[in-house]
Amino acid sequence: MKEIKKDIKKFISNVMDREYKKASNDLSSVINKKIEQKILNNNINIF
Amino acid sequence: MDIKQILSEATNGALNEEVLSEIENVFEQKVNDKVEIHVEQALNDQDELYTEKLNELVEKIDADHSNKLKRVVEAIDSDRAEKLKVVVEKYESALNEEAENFQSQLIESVSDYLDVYLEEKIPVESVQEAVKNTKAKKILEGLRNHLAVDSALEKESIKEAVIDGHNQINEASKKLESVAEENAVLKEELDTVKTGLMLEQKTAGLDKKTKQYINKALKGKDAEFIAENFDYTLKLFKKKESDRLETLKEEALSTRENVDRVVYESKQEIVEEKVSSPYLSELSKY
Repeated sequence: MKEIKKDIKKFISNVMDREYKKASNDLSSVINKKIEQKILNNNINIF
Repeated sequence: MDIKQILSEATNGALNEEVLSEIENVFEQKVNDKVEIHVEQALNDQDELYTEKLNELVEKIDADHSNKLKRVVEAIDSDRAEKLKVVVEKYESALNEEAENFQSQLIESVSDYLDVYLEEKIPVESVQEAVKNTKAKKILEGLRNHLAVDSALEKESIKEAVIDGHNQINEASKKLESVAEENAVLKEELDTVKTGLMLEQKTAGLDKKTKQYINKALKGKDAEFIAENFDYTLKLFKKKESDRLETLKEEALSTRENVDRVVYESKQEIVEEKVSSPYLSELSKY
Protein backbone atom coordinates (compact mmCIF):
# COMPACT_ATOMS: atom_id res chain seq x y z
CA MET A 1 0.00 0.00 0.00
CA LYS A 2 2.85 2.36 0.87
CA GLU A 3 4.50 1.53 -2.44
CA ILE A 4 1.33 2.47 -4.29
CA LYS A 5 1.09 5.80 -2.43
CA LYS A 6 4.72 6.53 -3.20
CA ASP A 7 4.07 5.86 -6.88
CA ILE A 8 0.99 8.10 -6.84
CA LYS A 9 3.07 10.85 -5.19
CA LYS A 10 5.68 10.48 -7.93
CA PHE A 11 2.94 10.55 -10.54
CA ILE A 12 1.50 13.82 -9.13
CA SER A 13 4.90 15.50 -8.90
CA ASN A 14 5.77 14.44 -12.44
CA VAL A 15 2.47 15.85 -13.70
CA MET A 16 3.22 19.10 -11.86
CA ASP A 17 6.68 19.20 -13.50
CA ARG A 18 5.08 18.41 -16.89
CA GLU A 19 7.14 15.21 -17.16
CA TYR A 20 4.30 13.34 -18.78
CA LYS A 21 6.30 10.33 -19.93
CA LYS A 22 7.53 9.63 -16.42
CA ALA A 23 4.04 10.31 -15.09
CA SER A 24 2.64 7.76 -17.54
CA ASN A 25 5.13 5.14 -16.34
CA ASP A 26 4.24 5.90 -12.73
CA LEU A 27 0.54 5.54 -13.47
CA SER A 28 1.16 2.20 -15.22
CA SER A 29 3.09 0.99 -12.20
CA VAL A 30 0.28 2.10 -9.88
CA ILE A 31 -2.36 0.31 -11.97
CA ASN A 32 -0.25 -2.86 -12.12
CA LYS A 33 0.13 -2.86 -8.37
CA LYS A 34 -3.57 -2.20 -7.89
CA ILE A 35 -4.45 -5.19 -10.08
CA GLU A 36 -1.91 -7.36 -8.21
CA GLN A 37 -3.54 -6.28 -4.98
CA LYS A 38 -6.93 -7.10 -6.42
CA ILE A 39 -5.74 -10.57 -7.41
CA LEU A 40 -4.37 -11.14 -3.91
CA ASN A 41 -7.44 -9.77 -2.15
CA ASN A 42 -9.81 -11.92 -4.19
CA ASN A 43 -7.72 -15.10 -3.78
CA ILE A 44 -7.42 -15.61 -7.51
CA ASN A 45 -5.13 -18.57 -8.19
CA ILE A 46 -2.70 -17.65 -10.93
CA PHE A 47 -0.77 -20.95 -10.83
CA MET B 1 4.14 123.67 18.74
CA ASP B 2 3.48 123.38 15.02
CA ILE B 3 5.58 124.65 12.15
CA LYS B 4 3.20 127.48 11.28
CA GLN B 5 3.58 129.08 14.67
CA ILE B 6 7.36 128.70 14.63
CA LEU B 7 7.64 130.26 11.19
CA SER B 8 5.20 133.11 12.12
CA GLU B 9 7.22 133.92 15.22
CA ALA B 10 10.48 133.65 13.32
CA THR B 11 9.34 135.94 10.56
CA ASN B 12 7.32 138.21 12.88
CA GLY B 13 4.18 137.61 10.92
CA ALA B 14 5.75 138.34 7.51
CA LEU B 15 4.29 135.18 6.03
CA ASN B 16 0.62 134.95 5.55
CA GLU B 17 -1.50 132.00 6.46
CA GLU B 18 -1.54 130.65 2.97
CA VAL B 19 2.21 130.52 2.60
CA LEU B 20 2.57 129.08 6.01
CA SER B 21 0.08 126.40 5.13
CA GLU B 22 1.98 125.75 1.95
CA ILE B 23 5.30 125.47 3.79
CA GLU B 24 3.70 123.30 6.37
CA ASN B 25 2.38 121.00 3.69
CA VAL B 26 5.75 120.79 1.96
CA PHE B 27 7.50 120.28 5.28
CA GLU B 28 5.12 117.54 6.28
CA GLN B 29 5.47 116.05 2.89
CA LYS B 30 9.25 115.92 3.20
CA VAL B 31 9.09 114.63 6.74
CA ASN B 32 6.65 111.93 5.67
CA ASP B 33 8.94 110.96 2.80
CA LYS B 34 11.91 110.72 5.19
CA VAL B 35 9.88 108.76 7.69
CA GLU B 36 8.68 106.46 5.00
CA ILE B 37 12.25 105.82 3.82
CA HIS B 38 13.43 105.16 7.37
CA VAL B 39 10.51 102.92 8.14
CA GLU B 40 11.11 101.00 4.95
CA GLN B 41 14.82 100.70 5.82
CA ALA B 42 13.99 99.54 9.31
CA LEU B 43 11.47 97.10 8.00
CA ASN B 44 14.01 95.74 5.52
CA ASP B 45 16.61 95.37 8.26
CA GLN B 46 14.06 93.69 10.47
CA ASP B 47 13.04 91.41 7.63
CA GLU B 48 16.63 90.38 6.97
CA LEU B 49 17.24 89.77 10.64
CA TYR B 50 14.07 87.82 11.05
CA THR B 51 14.76 85.91 7.84
CA GLU B 52 18.21 84.87 9.09
CA LYS B 53 16.80 83.89 12.44
CA LEU B 54 13.93 82.08 10.82
CA ASN B 55 16.33 80.27 8.50
CA GLU B 56 18.46 79.20 11.46
CA LEU B 57 15.36 78.17 13.33
CA VAL B 58 14.00 76.25 10.36
CA GLU B 59 17.35 74.50 9.85
CA LYS B 60 17.53 73.55 13.51
CA ILE B 61 13.93 72.38 13.49
CA ASP B 62 14.61 70.48 10.26
CA ALA B 63 17.64 68.74 11.71
CA ASP B 64 15.79 67.92 14.89
CA HIS B 65 12.77 66.69 13.01
CA SER B 66 14.96 64.72 10.62
CA ASN B 67 16.68 62.94 13.51
CA LYS B 68 13.40 62.28 15.17
CA LEU B 69 11.87 61.08 11.92
CA LYS B 70 14.85 58.81 11.29
CA ARG B 71 14.42 57.29 14.72
CA VAL B 72 10.72 56.91 14.18
CA VAL B 73 11.26 55.35 10.75
CA GLU B 74 13.89 52.95 12.09
CA ALA B 75 11.67 51.97 14.97
CA ILE B 76 8.72 51.48 12.67
CA ASP B 77 10.88 49.57 10.17
CA SER B 78 12.24 47.16 12.75
CA ASP B 79 8.83 46.72 14.30
CA ARG B 80 7.17 46.08 10.94
CA ALA B 81 10.02 43.78 9.86
CA GLU B 82 9.63 41.67 13.00
CA LYS B 83 5.89 41.55 12.54
CA LEU B 84 6.31 40.68 8.86
CA LYS B 85 8.75 37.90 9.76
CA VAL B 86 6.25 36.46 12.20
CA VAL B 87 3.50 36.74 9.61
CA VAL B 88 5.68 35.12 6.90
CA GLU B 89 6.71 32.25 9.19
CA LYS B 90 3.15 31.70 10.25
CA TYR B 91 1.88 31.68 6.69
CA GLU B 92 4.72 29.50 5.45
CA SER B 93 4.10 26.89 8.13
CA ALA B 94 0.39 27.10 7.51
CA LEU B 95 0.97 26.85 3.77
CA ASN B 96 3.29 23.83 4.13
CA GLU B 97 0.92 22.05 6.45
CA GLU B 98 -1.97 22.81 4.20
CA ALA B 99 0.05 21.73 1.16
CA GLU B 100 0.98 18.45 2.85
CA ASN B 101 -2.58 17.86 3.90
CA PHE B 102 -3.77 18.69 0.43
CA GLN B 103 -1.17 16.39 -1.11
CA SER B 104 -2.11 13.48 1.13
CA GLN B 105 -5.78 14.12 0.41
CA LEU B 106 -5.01 14.25 -3.30
CA ILE B 107 -3.08 10.97 -3.11
CA GLU B 108 -5.98 9.35 -1.27
CA SER B 109 -8.44 10.72 -3.81
CA VAL B 110 -6.38 9.52 -6.79
CA SER B 111 -5.98 6.10 -5.16
CA ASP B 112 -9.71 5.83 -4.46
CA TYR B 113 -10.55 7.03 -7.95
CA LEU B 114 -8.23 4.42 -9.48
CA ASP B 115 -9.77 1.73 -7.29
CA VAL B 116 -13.25 2.68 -8.41
CA TYR B 117 -12.18 3.02 -12.05
CA LEU B 118 -10.43 -0.36 -12.06
CA GLU B 119 -13.39 -1.98 -10.33
CA GLU B 120 -15.67 -0.53 -12.98
CA LYS B 121 -13.52 -1.23 -16.03
CA ILE B 122 -11.76 -4.40 -14.93
CA PRO B 123 -14.05 -6.31 -12.54
CA VAL B 124 -12.85 -9.33 -10.59
CA GLU B 125 -14.62 -11.66 -13.04
CA SER B 126 -12.58 -10.25 -15.91
CA VAL B 127 -9.37 -10.74 -13.99
CA GLN B 128 -10.33 -14.32 -13.22
CA GLU B 129 -11.17 -14.90 -16.87
CA ALA B 130 -7.89 -13.39 -17.97
CA VAL B 131 -6.01 -15.60 -15.54
CA LYS B 132 -7.86 -18.65 -16.86
CA ASN B 133 -7.10 -17.63 -20.45
CA THR B 134 -3.42 -17.16 -19.67
CA LYS B 135 -3.35 -20.53 -17.93
CA ALA B 136 -5.04 -22.23 -20.87
CA LYS B 137 -2.66 -20.53 -23.28
CA LYS B 138 0.33 -21.77 -21.32
CA ILE B 139 -1.06 -25.29 -21.17
CA LEU B 140 -1.67 -25.26 -24.91
CA GLU B 141 1.84 -24.00 -25.54
CA GLY B 142 3.18 -26.78 -23.37
CA LEU B 143 1.10 -29.38 -25.21
CA ARG B 144 2.24 -28.06 -28.56
CA ASN B 145 5.84 -28.20 -27.49
CA HIS B 146 5.33 -31.66 -26.03
CA LEU B 147 3.63 -33.05 -29.11
CA ALA B 148 5.90 -31.12 -31.47
CA VAL B 149 2.88 -29.75 -33.20
CA ASP B 150 2.77 -26.29 -34.63
CA SER B 151 0.15 -24.42 -36.56
CA ALA B 152 2.15 -24.96 -39.74
CA LEU B 153 2.12 -28.70 -39.10
CA GLU B 154 -1.61 -28.94 -38.80
CA LYS B 155 -1.98 -29.31 -42.58
CA GLU B 156 -2.17 -32.94 -43.77
CA SER B 157 0.26 -32.49 -46.68
CA ILE B 158 2.99 -31.06 -44.49
CA LYS B 159 2.35 -33.51 -41.68
CA GLU B 160 3.37 -36.59 -43.75
CA ALA B 161 6.56 -34.93 -44.96
CA VAL B 162 7.44 -33.96 -41.44
CA ILE B 163 6.77 -37.46 -40.10
CA ASP B 164 8.89 -38.93 -42.92
CA GLY B 165 11.66 -36.46 -42.15
CA HIS B 166 11.37 -37.31 -38.47
CA ASN B 167 11.73 -41.04 -39.20
CA GLN B 168 14.72 -40.41 -41.44
CA ILE B 169 16.34 -38.29 -38.79
CA ASN B 170 15.76 -41.01 -36.20
CA GLU B 171 17.31 -43.67 -38.47
CA ALA B 172 20.25 -41.44 -39.25
CA SER B 173 20.74 -40.79 -35.55
CA LYS B 174 20.72 -44.50 -34.77
CA LYS B 175 23.22 -45.17 -37.55
CA LEU B 176 25.41 -42.39 -36.31
CA GLU B 177 25.34 -43.82 -32.80
CA SER B 178 26.31 -47.32 -33.97
CA VAL B 179 29.10 -45.93 -36.17
CA ALA B 180 30.36 -43.83 -33.27
CA GLU B 181 30.40 -46.92 -31.04
CA GLU B 182 32.30 -48.91 -33.67
CA ASN B 183 34.69 -46.05 -34.09
CA ALA B 184 35.31 -45.91 -30.34
CA VAL B 185 35.97 -49.67 -30.21
CA LEU B 186 38.35 -49.48 -33.16
CA LYS B 187 40.15 -46.55 -31.65
CA GLU B 188 40.57 -48.41 -28.37
CA GLU B 189 41.92 -51.45 -30.17
CA LEU B 190 44.27 -49.29 -32.20
CA ASP B 191 45.55 -47.64 -29.03
CA THR B 192 46.16 -51.03 -27.42
CA VAL B 193 48.02 -52.27 -30.46
CA LYS B 194 50.05 -49.08 -30.62
CA THR B 195 50.92 -49.34 -26.95
CA GLY B 196 51.93 -52.98 -27.29
CA LEU B 197 54.04 -52.20 -30.32
CA MET B 198 55.74 -49.31 -28.59
CA LEU B 199 56.45 -51.43 -25.51
CA GLU B 200 57.75 -54.20 -27.70
CA GLN B 201 60.03 -51.79 -29.57
CA LYS B 202 61.33 -50.16 -26.41
CA THR B 203 61.93 -53.42 -24.51
CA ALA B 204 63.48 -55.18 -27.52
CA GLY B 205 67.06 -55.11 -26.18
CA LEU B 206 66.24 -55.78 -22.53
CA ASP B 207 66.46 -59.03 -20.58
CA LYS B 208 63.41 -61.11 -19.70
CA LYS B 209 63.01 -59.95 -16.12
CA THR B 210 63.28 -56.27 -16.99
CA LYS B 211 60.84 -56.80 -19.83
CA GLN B 212 58.36 -58.44 -17.44
CA TYR B 213 58.71 -55.64 -14.91
CA ILE B 214 58.28 -52.96 -17.57
CA ASN B 215 55.26 -54.73 -19.07
CA LYS B 216 53.71 -55.07 -15.62
CA ALA B 217 54.32 -51.43 -14.71
CA LEU B 218 53.16 -49.93 -17.99
CA LYS B 219 50.34 -52.33 -18.83
CA GLY B 220 47.11 -50.63 -19.73
CA LYS B 221 48.71 -47.18 -20.11
CA ASP B 222 48.41 -45.15 -23.28
CA ALA B 223 51.22 -44.53 -25.76
CA GLU B 224 51.91 -41.00 -24.57
CA PHE B 225 52.28 -42.12 -20.95
CA ILE B 226 54.61 -44.92 -21.97
CA ALA B 227 56.76 -42.57 -24.08
CA GLU B 228 57.04 -40.15 -21.16
CA ASN B 229 57.64 -42.67 -18.37
CA PHE B 230 59.49 -45.55 -19.99
CA ASP B 231 63.00 -44.27 -19.20
CA TYR B 232 62.03 -43.39 -15.64
CA THR B 233 60.52 -46.85 -15.05
CA LEU B 234 63.57 -48.51 -16.46
CA LYS B 235 65.89 -46.48 -14.24
CA LEU B 236 63.71 -47.22 -11.24
CA PHE B 237 63.80 -50.92 -11.91
CA LYS B 238 67.57 -50.88 -12.36
CA LYS B 239 68.06 -48.99 -9.13
CA LYS B 240 65.76 -51.32 -7.21
CA GLU B 241 67.51 -54.31 -8.65
CA SER B 242 70.96 -53.03 -7.78
CA ASP B 243 69.82 -52.15 -4.24
CA ARG B 244 68.32 -55.56 -3.77
CA LEU B 245 71.42 -57.31 -5.02
CA GLU B 246 73.62 -55.20 -2.80
CA THR B 247 71.53 -56.13 0.24
CA LEU B 248 71.59 -59.80 -0.62
CA LYS B 249 75.31 -59.70 -1.12
CA GLU B 250 75.90 -58.10 2.26
CA GLU B 251 73.64 -60.63 3.97
CA ALA B 252 75.38 -63.49 2.27
CA LEU B 253 78.83 -62.26 3.26
CA SER B 254 77.86 -61.66 6.90
CA THR B 255 76.28 -65.13 7.41
CA ARG B 256 78.73 -67.18 5.35
CA GLU B 257 80.87 -68.61 8.26
CA ASN B 258 78.08 -69.41 10.75
CA VAL B 259 75.81 -71.09 8.38
CA ASP B 260 75.12 -74.83 8.89
CA ARG B 261 73.61 -77.04 6.34
CA VAL B 262 70.07 -76.80 7.48
CA VAL B 263 70.18 -73.07 7.82
CA TYR B 264 71.94 -72.80 4.50
CA GLU B 265 69.20 -74.75 2.83
CA SER B 266 66.47 -72.67 4.38
CA LYS B 267 68.41 -69.55 3.41
CA GLN B 268 68.69 -70.85 -0.03
CA GLU B 269 64.99 -71.48 -0.18
CA ILE B 270 64.24 -67.99 0.98
CA VAL B 271 66.58 -66.58 -1.61
CA GLU B 272 65.02 -68.70 -4.25
CA GLU B 273 61.66 -67.53 -3.23
CA LYS B 274 62.70 -63.92 -3.33
CA VAL B 275 64.76 -63.77 -6.54
CA SER B 276 65.63 -65.93 -9.44
CA SER B 277 68.44 -63.89 -10.94
CA PRO B 278 71.70 -65.44 -12.23
CA TYR B 279 73.73 -63.49 -9.72
CA LEU B 280 71.79 -64.95 -6.81
CA SER B 281 71.99 -68.43 -8.18
CA GLU B 282 75.73 -68.01 -8.23
CA LEU B 283 75.65 -66.71 -4.66
CA SER B 284 73.61 -69.67 -3.50
CA LYS B 285 76.45 -72.01 -4.31
CA TYR B 286 78.46 -70.64 -1.37
